[in-house]
Amino acid sequence: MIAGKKVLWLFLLIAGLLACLGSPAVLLAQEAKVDLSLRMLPEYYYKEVIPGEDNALFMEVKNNGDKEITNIRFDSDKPEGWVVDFKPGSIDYLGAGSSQTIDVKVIPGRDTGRGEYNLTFIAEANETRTATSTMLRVENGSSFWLWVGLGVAALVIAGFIVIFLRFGR
Amino acid sequence: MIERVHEHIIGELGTNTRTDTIFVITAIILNLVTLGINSGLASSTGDTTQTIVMFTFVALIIVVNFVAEIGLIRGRQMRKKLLNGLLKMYKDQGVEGYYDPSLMGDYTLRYNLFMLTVLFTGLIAIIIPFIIR
Repeated sequence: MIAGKKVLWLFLLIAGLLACLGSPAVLLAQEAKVDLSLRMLPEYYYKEVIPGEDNALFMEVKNNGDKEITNIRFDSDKPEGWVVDFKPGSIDYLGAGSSQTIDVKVIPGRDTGRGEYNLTFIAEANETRTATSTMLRVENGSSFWLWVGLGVAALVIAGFIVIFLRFGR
Repeated sequence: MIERVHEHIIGELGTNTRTDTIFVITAIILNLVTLGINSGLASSTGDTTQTIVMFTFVALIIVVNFVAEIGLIRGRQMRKKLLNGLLKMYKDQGVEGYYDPSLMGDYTLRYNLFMLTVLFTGLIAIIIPFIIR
């Protein structure tokens, strides 16, 4: 009789545990994972770009989750005067585990000086949001400092001429 | 007495030469050293402090080069006066034929070349770091 009660209690305990595991709260915790990643292809880090010209970069957007991601729009945080275009500009649907390459056209402003510039690319979907950044360098831009140097040199030459005329007699 | 005056003039000419040499060498060495320092500063990641240091060295180049140029101009004038005195003395002694007056023109040309060298090394020391930046 006692053994029968023990079996009954054990059965109830197991049934209770199974009921807990199958409850909606636990089911919610195991909800499909949403994970969108955006990455610049390695060769486009620290790439040289030319002011005023189209510079093509490529990045990859990937759905690492187990649920489709919809309506992915692309945007960028860029230096003033720069133009950044994405092709495609948006992705309606990206299935779980799939990826897509995005062409990025970067046009630095014509007056961009020489230096290193940071660009951040943002992918915003209905379900999530992600971003990546890259450093681009401008080598042949018009340099403000070059003009400063030439100005100082011109002043020195002018000063030398004045001294030569004034003291050279 | 005339021998003492002659020795004095010769001594002055020697001092003049040494002073001018110091001006030229100091200016050129400073220009080259500053060129190296400012080029290093210009090629590193530029922040405000580095820009201030760079401009301070540019100011130093300008001041030292102007001082050297004025010193060389004065040195040239002084040498001309001393040589004129010397020539007059030789003329009075009837030995002017041993000293060619065209040497004075050569000295003037040499001084102008020294000044040009100082000026150009100074200009290069100023401009190159700004091109690198």
